[in-house]
Amino acid sequence: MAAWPTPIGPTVPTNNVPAEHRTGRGRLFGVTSRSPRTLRSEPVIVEAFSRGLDWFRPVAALYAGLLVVRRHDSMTHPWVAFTTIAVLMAFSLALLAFRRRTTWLLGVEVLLAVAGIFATLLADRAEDVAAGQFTLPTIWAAGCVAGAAVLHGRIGGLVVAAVVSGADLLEVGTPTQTTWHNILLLFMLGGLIGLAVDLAREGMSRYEQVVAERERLRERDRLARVVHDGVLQTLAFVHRRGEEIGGEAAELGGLAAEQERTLRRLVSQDGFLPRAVEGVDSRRDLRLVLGAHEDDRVSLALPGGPVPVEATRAEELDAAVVAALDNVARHAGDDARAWVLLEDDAESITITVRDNGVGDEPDHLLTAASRGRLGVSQSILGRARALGGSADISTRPGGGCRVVITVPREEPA
Amino acid sequence: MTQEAPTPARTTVLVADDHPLWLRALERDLVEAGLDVVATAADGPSTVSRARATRPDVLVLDLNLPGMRGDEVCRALGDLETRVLILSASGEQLDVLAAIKAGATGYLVKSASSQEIVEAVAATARGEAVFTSGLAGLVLGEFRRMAAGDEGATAARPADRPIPELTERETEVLRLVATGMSYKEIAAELVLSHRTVQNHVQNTLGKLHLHNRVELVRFALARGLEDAPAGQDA
Repeated sequence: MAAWPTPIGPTVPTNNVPAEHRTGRGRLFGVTSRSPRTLRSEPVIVEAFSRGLDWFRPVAALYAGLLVVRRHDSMTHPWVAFTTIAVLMAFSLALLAFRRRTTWLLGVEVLLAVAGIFATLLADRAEDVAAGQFTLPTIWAAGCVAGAAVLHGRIGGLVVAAVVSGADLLEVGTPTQTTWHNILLLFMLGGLIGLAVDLAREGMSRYEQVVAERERLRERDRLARVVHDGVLQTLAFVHRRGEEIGGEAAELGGLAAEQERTLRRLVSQDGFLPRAVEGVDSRRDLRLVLGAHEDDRVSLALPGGPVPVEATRAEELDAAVVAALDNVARHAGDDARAWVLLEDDAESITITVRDNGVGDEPDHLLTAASRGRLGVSQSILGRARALGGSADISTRPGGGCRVVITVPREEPA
Repeated sequence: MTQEAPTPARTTVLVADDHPLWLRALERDLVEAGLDVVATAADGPSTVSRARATRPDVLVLDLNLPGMRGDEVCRALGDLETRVLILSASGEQLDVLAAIKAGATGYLVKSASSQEIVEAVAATARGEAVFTSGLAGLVLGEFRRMAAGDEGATAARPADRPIPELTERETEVLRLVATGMSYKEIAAELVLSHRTVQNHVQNTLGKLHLHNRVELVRFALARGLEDAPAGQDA
């Protein structure tokens, strides 16, 4: 047992669900669905609201009952009032046991509240109702507004607040000041609780996105390692053996080498610069841009860290490098190889493109523009100047060619 | 090709690679070239223990061994005479850089021909630094980064901390290495001796190693280990 090497490192996929989310507390509260990542069905605040409401309902029903007991003498039909209270209490207690919260159940609750409000008309004398006497359910009706807000956010809260207010207005006939006061409170209750719930849910879904993104990166990392250990190594091996054997095998080797490069670029790509950075400030990692030029005749020498450059600058620089490499391919000879070196200073970026080809007379190159060949001067010198930098081209017959492009990192002010 | 001085004893080599195909091919090539492969290993911990047991001249190390990262292997062997030549199939540049900073003296990509690999092992055994153009680019970038003060924990940097810097000549040489020139070509271009070019390249690695060691000591001091050596003797 002890012989097992301890640091297995990133090859083992780590379980990244934070431990505190595993307690399953959410199960107690009206669970609808559960996130597979955080194992959480609802944000904490929503669960807390839900739990608080469960206790609010019976307490509110008890309060409504006490009020009815105090004034049942003045009622025309006290039994209607007692029945109403009994039903509300039974429903409230039932919800303590039955914890699944659905829209359907909410509908029943709203219906009970509205029915309770209209039952006031039967139980109480008409003049008491007109004078603004409490409805039978009193504050119990507020519970379903809050419940709707918890279930469906601010929209739900406001809609049910409107329904209950409508019932209140119909019941009282001519609204008193207290009626308007209560209606305002109902809308504030539904709107604010709904808003809080909405914000909490948005926050949670954003958090889950972050977790998912992190998992994706980690998975990519793991894949990259697996690919590296197996596929890339084998391709590299095929390449090497092919070269050794020669002939047609060398061709196969060349194909393997090409695939190896492509695959390596793929698996290493967005590990370099997090996508967020790229997306937000539209900058690109120059290493990745130039990386596309690597092949069996072009070698790259890059720094270890990212070289973020504003996207259009990166494209212009890339175009200049492409022109230089083009020049190598066309004029340097068949056996020529090229090297691209990227150097990143605090203020400037230097790219050197060198080849070991046949070279040229320096004068020849510089007069090319006057002879109608725009290639070098326009594509390289022109671009470097447009970016506020400079390019230096040196060559001699038999000595290859060296192009050094230096440009400031940022657009000159 | 190179003016290889006949060594009195055969160069001993330990080959570490977790890929069986590669391990066999490398071993075969090195043996054919007259090198003495004293052991092979396929994972990090056994690489370390076998290197300690056989004390080879050169360790040919694949960067991605199971069990230990390349730089961890290099660090674990820091007290041995063994020189480490990194052989990597990929462009995991940060891993390469970490291993070089941890004491490896050479780096070669696996796509190199077997002749190149054999020559690199021989050069490593002679104490020369084996650079690819890619490694030169990395090292140049690393010195730039250190000079720019982009060190992650910049906040705790004391004013007196020495930042290693390359001389102009060293930078010049590294640039030429990074654009694919051989030491011989560089010597001709800069009108220097082959040996001088070699020294410049080695010095750059030496500065990286040293810096890395200074960093480790600072880390130890920051963690409150300063009392132990002070209590004994300074």
